[in-house]
Order: sequence, then C-alpha cells, then structure tokens
Amino acid sequence: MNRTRIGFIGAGGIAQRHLGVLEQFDDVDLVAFADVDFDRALAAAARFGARAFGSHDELLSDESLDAVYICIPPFAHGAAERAVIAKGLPFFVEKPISLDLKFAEELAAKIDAAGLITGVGYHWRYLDTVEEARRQLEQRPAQLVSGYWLDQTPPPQWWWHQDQSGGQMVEQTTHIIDLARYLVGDVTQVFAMAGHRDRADFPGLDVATVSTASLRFASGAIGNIGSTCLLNWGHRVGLHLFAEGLALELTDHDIMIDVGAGRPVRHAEGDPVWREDRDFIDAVRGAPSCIRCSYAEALKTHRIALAINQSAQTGQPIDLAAR
Amino acid sequence: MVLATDSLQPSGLGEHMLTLAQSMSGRFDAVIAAGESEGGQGLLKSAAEAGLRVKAFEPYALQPFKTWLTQYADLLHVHAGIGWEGHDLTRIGKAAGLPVVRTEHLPYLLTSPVQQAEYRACLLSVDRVITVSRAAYDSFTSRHGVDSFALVLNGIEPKVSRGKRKDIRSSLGIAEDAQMVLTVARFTPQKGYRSLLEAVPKVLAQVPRSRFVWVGEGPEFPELGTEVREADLADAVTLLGHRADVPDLLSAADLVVLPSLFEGLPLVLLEAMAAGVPVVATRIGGSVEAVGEAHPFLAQPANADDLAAAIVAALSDPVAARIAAEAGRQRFDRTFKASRMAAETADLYSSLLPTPSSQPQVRSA
Ligand SMILES: NC(=O)c1ccc[n+]([C@@H]2O[C@H](COP(=O)([O-])OP(=O)(O)OC[C@H]3O[C@@H](n4cnc5c(N)ncnc54)[C@H](O)[C@@H]3O)[C@@H](O)[C@H]2O)c1
Repeated sequence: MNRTRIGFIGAGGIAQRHLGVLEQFDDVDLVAFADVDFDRALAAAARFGARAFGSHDELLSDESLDAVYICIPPFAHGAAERAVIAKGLPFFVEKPISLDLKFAEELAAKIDAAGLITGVGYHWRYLDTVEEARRQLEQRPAQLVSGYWLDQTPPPQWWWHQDQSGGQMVEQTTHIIDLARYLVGDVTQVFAMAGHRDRADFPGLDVATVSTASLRFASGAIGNIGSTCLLNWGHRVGLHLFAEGLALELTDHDIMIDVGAGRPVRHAEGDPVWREDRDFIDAVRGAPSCIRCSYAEALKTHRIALAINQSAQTGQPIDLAAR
Repeated sequence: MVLATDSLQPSGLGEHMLTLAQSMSGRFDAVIAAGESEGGQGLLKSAAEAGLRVKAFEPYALQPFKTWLTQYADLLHVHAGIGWEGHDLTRIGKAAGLPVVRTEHLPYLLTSPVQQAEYRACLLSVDRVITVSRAAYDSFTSRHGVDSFALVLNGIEPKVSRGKRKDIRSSLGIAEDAQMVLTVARFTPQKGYRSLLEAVPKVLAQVPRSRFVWVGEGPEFPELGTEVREADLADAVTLLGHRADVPDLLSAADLVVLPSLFEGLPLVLLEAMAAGVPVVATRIGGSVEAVGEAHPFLAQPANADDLAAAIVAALSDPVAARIAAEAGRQRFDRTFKASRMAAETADLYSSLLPTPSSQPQVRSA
C-alpha cells in the first residue's frame, strides 16, 4: 500500500495531539518536521524515523510530501501557508487561522483557485454529541444561545499577548463560536465588551481577562458568549442552546438534553480529533471529502471572532451581513 | 537502510555513520538510529542537521524499535564501538526479519569468557560483519573464521577548513613561529595521552618552540589537565575540550600526533592525511594501515621516548615532513575516500537484499 507522506510545520503541543492520532494510521508516513525551535523538530523526527528542519522552506524544498499539517501559533501564520499553497499541497491548519483577516481572505481565494483540499482544527464538529444536538435542533431550531469559555490562562507566553494570540475570544472561544455557527447558522451582528485586570502571576499579560459578546443569527436566534481566563482551573467550556420545549447543554465531553423529563447526561464517545484527521487523510488519498471544516468554513468563524474584538475595542455593534 | 548504534559516546563511530549514510544517499535512503543517551542524542542532532532521517530508541526497551524496523526497514546495519556493544540491536534486527550487518570499529579486544561467548552467540544473528582495517579483520577472523567477515576500509569525506591559518593560530594563542602539534582523540586510556604527556618535556628540550593542542572529551580530561599544570607544562600544552572546528584546527597545525594503544582505522589520521598535514602515529594495526608501512614517523605505543623521538624527527626536518605529508595525501585519495567505502558497503547491502524480481510482497520473519 502506498502511504500518504505527511510533513509538519510546528511541532509543539497540538502537533503532538495530531501525531498521537496519525501514528495509528497505517496508510500514513510521518516523514518530516519543521520547527523554528530545531530541537522540537528533531525530537518529533526521532520518534518516527523522519527528517528535521529549522524552517518550512527547507522542509518544502527538501522533502517530497503529499500533505502538510501546520500547527503554529496564531501570530506565525503567513509565509508557511503561502509556501504550501505555492507547492500545491493539501494542508491541515490549526485554528485560529491567522490574526490578519486580509491575509486569511487572500489565502482562501488562492486555495479556492487551486482547488486545494484543506482542513482546520475545529474538532468539536466531530463530537458524536454534536451530531446528536444537530438532530434535535432539526425539529426545534435554537432560539437562544449561551456559550462559555471560563478557564485558566494557558502557559505559553505568546498566549498572553494580544498581538500574538489575538486574545481569548480569537484563540479559544473561537471553538464555541464555530460550534454555534455549525448548530445555529450564520451570525449577522455582534456587539461585545471586554475588560482587563493586571495579574501578578502573569507579567505582561495584556489580553482581555473577561469578555462578552451578544450575537444575532440569520435564523432570528440571539445569544451571548462569555470568556474569562481568570480562573486557575477549567470551570465551564461549552454551549447551551434553548428552543421550544428543549434545553441542550454541550461540553467537549458530554451532552445534556432536557425535554422536561429530567436532565440526562450522555458522555461523548470516540475521539473527535481521530475522526477529523481520518477525514482529512481520506480526502488527501482521493476519497470524496467528508471534511467538516475547510479553510473557507473556518474563515467564516474567524470573521466573527475578529468582529467581536473590533466591537469590544470600538464600543460599536458590528454588522456582519453587510460585509 | 537503518544505521544504528547503542554506543553511549558515538564520536568517531558516529562520524563514520554520518559519512556512510551521506555518501550512500544516491543508492540507499538511510536512517540514523541511536539510543536515548546524551551521546546518542548528539549523533541524531548532527544527522538531522545533515539532512538525514533520524530515529531514537530506548536501549533497554527495544520492542517498539523492533516494531518500527519491521514496518519500515529493509536492512539493519549495527555499528559497534567495542565487541560487547550492539548485541541486542542485532538480535531485534534478526527478529524483525531483516538482513543484519554489523561494523566493528575496533579490533577484537574481548578478554572475558562471558563476553567472548556473547560475541559468538551474536554472530548467529548477523549476516555480515564489516571490519574497518586489515588488522581488525585479522583479529576477528583468526578467532571466528572468515565466513561472516568482510573488510571495508574506513573512508571519510574530508571537510574543508573555512578559516585562515593565521587567524586560527592567533585565536589559539599560537605564535607564528611556533610549531603546533595537534592531537584529536577522546581522553580515554586507549588514546595514549599519558605517553604523550611524558614525551612533551623531551620534545621541548630539543624543539623549544613546539606547542601542543589537545582536542576531545572523556574521563581522563580533568586528571590530565591537572597533571599538565603540575608538570609546569601549561604554557606548552592547551586542552581545548570538544571542538566542532577540527578542519580549521588541522589547517593551523604543523603536525598531528596520535599516540593510541589500539585503533580500528583512526579517522583523525585520515583527516590529517587528506588535509596534507604530516602525522606521527604509533606502530599499531589500524594506524599503520592508515599511514602505510613506509611512513617515516612511527613510534612504539606507550613508549614516551620513542614518541618524543618521532615528533622531534618530524618537527626538525621540514622537508622530510612535507614529503611524508604529500605521500599521505596521495595515499588518502587512492584508498580512503568515503565514496569508495560507500560503494563497497552498498554492494554488500545489495548482496543481502532480495533481488527485485523475487522480492516478496510481505516479508517473512
Ligand atoms: N484544536 C485545538 O483544540 C487546539 C488545541 C491546542 C492548540 N491549538 C492551536 O494550535 C496552535 C499551536 O498551539 P500549540 O499549543 O501547539 O503551541 P506551542 O507553542 O506548543 O507550539 C507551537 C510550535 O510552533 C513553532 N513555531 C512557531 N512559529 C513557527 C514557524 N513560523 N514555523 C515553524 N514552527 C513555528 C514553535 O516553535 C512551537 O514549537 C495555536 O493556534 C492553538 O490555538 C488548537
């Protein structure tokens, strides 16, 4: 069997998550790793008998690949994607796709023109519980949306800085925004507020420490999403949806569906990242694509996250339908 | 092709593996595999920097490595620094259903009956043992017969110096009119630094402007540093520790000395020969093979007087030294190029691989 040759750009935390899945696929070869921190590329390469590079340029020029995983922090997007697209390679990229909307739009156009297969790491779409929620909502569409990312502050220093991570709404809560879009449909208007407290344990942290956004959906549904990084533990990360005679609560590991007969909770089954990676690889190998979040889809979510930031900054509601 | 070592300090041996993998790249795609020791990690880093594929393994839990070999490898080539290394690797290579080649980087040195028995047992899971010098070949075949053994003389890809001789010397504090005597070797008893230390005052007595530069790491390093100071030789002997710029140091040197007690086929002599630097070596198997029987500057091993005499002879007769160096350069070109070593090794691999037409779809163990 010919194996699909995969290269990685970025070999940090989330790359390890995908590697743990991809190494289980016997139709995949992990052949090369590039990281600006060469030792990280080396450590990953030495796990798989692969080659290590200090930059994406060397990786792309020296290795023959079938597809690329781009697992770099928000601020680092740009040159890597351009080079991968120029090579005509399918790629999977982690969210958020960039901090610069113009750049993401330019890429989306190039990807479209080249007809490239892409996937983006909005893996909540692959939860079996989310499929169940979709079935419930087909009968009774959601009217009120209530989303949360109430959590601790991630350790990587880049996360603390607005100009590197884009802040919590763009970096983390974007999963919830994407899920809301997936289950409720397009967002037409956002209005957001954000607050900040300096914190002794996180010197230099300049992102909003609390933020909240009101949303209006094309379907007529309305909602709110709140984020904070002030806790020292994960408190609640999820999405609550309310419809005629239906209350539904989703987290990344369970679902509660209340139709007036108690509050039954069911655990999610299987690994959504496994399904996400499998769909991407299958598409690269020529099967009809079942990828649930392409670059173009992710761009729609990302627009909302960036509009939330902009609204919080300007104090003005932002009309997305008008764009 | 997987080139693997479990040697804890694969210095010269590691260099050899990299040279081999790079020089064979036209014919075979090689992976460098090493244990998760500090030395092993260093080798993997050098390999990755050279653009080679790399694979780490856990030396005391080889099962995952075996699984990986079964899936990805066509042949396992184990590199052993000394006879007791690499046995587990050869065993899992065989268990993974692969042809196994083993290179012995030193002559046969095992003296304990247990180790000797282990070595005999290990031969059963090896298809071919490569020895890197005629002397090493003889030391193995005299005990084990010739059937499993092959002779592929060591070879190197000489690296070019980038610096200017004058600048390098001044960075080392070596005066223009000094005679720089360079030794590059690990600080282990094998390398014979002790006899060199004893020879230094004898050389200084006759060639007062000689300056000794010693490059390497190893267990004897701290001790020898102290002894140099105690013997009041700190002005004449500089210990540099590990250096990545050996080609530069060679271009700055007037003479290279390797006082070893035993060797496989020492790479540093080949490097010196390729660079056209005169050498003093000891009259031991691998070293004599490198420089040739006719080499004028040979000393008995572990004999400070003899070593001093050879160094003095080379330093005080520049014409003879230059002729010997030129002969060394030509000898290198004829015999010790990496391309020759790689071609012979690749032929040996090919002889062990299934021929393309009869290649089975699924490899049987
Ligand atoms: N889908 C998810 O649930 C999920 C989970 C965690 C992280 N992520 C996302 O993945 C991205 C990376 O996060 P992480 O946790 O892996 O971060 P990380 O800091 O652990 O790793 C990022 C790696 O990228 C490397 N890098 C930076 N710039 C590079 C460049 N230009 N070329 C090559 N390598 C470069 C860094 O050296 C580092 O090794 C973030 O955008 C994050 O939001 C997604």
